Amino acid sequence: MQPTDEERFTDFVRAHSASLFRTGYLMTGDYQRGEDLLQATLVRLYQRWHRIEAMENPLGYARKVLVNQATSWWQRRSSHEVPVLLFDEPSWGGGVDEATEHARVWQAILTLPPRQRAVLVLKYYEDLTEADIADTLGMAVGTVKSHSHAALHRLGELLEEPAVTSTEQIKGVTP
Amino acid sequence: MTVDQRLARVLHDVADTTTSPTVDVADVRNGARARRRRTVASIAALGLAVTMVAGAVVASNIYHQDGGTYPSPMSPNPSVSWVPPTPSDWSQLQGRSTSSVPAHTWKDPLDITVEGIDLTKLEYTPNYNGPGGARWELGLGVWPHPASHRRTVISFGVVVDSTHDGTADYVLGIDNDASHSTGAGSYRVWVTDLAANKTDMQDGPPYGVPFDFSHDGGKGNEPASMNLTFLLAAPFVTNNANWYAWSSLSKNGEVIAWDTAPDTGWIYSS
Repeated sequence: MQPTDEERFTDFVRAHSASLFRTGYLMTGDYQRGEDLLQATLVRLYQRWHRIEAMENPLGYARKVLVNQATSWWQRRSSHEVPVLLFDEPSWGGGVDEATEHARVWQAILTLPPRQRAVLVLKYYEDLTEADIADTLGMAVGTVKSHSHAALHRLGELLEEPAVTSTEQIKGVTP
Repeated sequence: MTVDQRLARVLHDVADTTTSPTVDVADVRNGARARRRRTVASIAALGLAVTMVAGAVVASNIYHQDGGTYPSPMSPNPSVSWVPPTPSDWSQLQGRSTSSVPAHTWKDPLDITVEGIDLTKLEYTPNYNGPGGARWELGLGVWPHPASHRRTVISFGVVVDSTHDGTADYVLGIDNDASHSTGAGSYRVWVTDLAANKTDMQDGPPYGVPFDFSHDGGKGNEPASMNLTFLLAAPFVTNNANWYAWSSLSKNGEVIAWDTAPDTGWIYSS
């Protein structure tokens, strides 16, 4: 890599590594795994940086690499593993009730199948359009919608507590 | 608060309350170099084994026909017998890749109805990672469904005739039948020297030995396709080696479908 390329790569890392890490963390629920995903993603970007920086959206490509790495990790995990046991507990702000409620929702999200969780993270954290989510995950827009619908339905079942958000309300969301 | 707002808030709160690690670009650089070194080391080890071979012939006492319609499961386990087909005619590679890396391509028709093993595109890049290196990419008509992936053993590979005598010398393979201890979805990669009856195998991660590979998991830029990349270098692979690609799907230890590309004949790549 030429020095100028290295400088631009360094700039990219400084600008986007935190965002990429957070996406990886939200997808895995595991800090160490999120860090490993970020490192592996950056290594792959570094090796092909000359071509990647010429792309229209290097960050989008980086996110795609990260998501695919995360999915590979999920594929390698034993089906007997219980995801919730691996996840770190984030610290919460706000009042006790809000913190408790957030923890419940977060734990519920972590129990979702990987694709459904990925769709939610890309939709509600990355704020991507369904078309962009489909491109990132390599699936059809209709599949994104069905994953989103299934995820919300499942969350509704897991968080059955009408005072916060009714099951009916969640089930009624159009994907 | 709507469901959308609630989910967005929770996810942002989780992310915002999680301190991001500090990234040292030097670590990234070293990681990239280490990754390359692992590949080169595996290539060197493989090359050393290959140079010990004099006169490549198929070890018929190990690899024999089982008399069935299909060959036995293609596997790194020598106790599971399989005679790699030995085509008698040659095919020139067709066309060149439009990518920035010069590569030769071969298109194979959709001819296997079983998803996940229909080889439809081969791409060969000579001098990959340096003089004498080579990279193969095997494109599939359809990526195996995850459910199928769990129930069956899907294998891919390349058969190489490095001595140009029309006889297979080496079989490179990868399958999803790694030991359970490495976790579901792990891979097993191997290279069998048919003459020496020697198999160099890596069962599950860490990968890189005996050769490196990558795939997009069916979620890359080309939906319904899969690329598998082998990285090798001299002296194992020469720019004039003859080769063809193979794939197979096994269930309960029995091959139930397979494909080769080209359907008959070796590919002569230069």
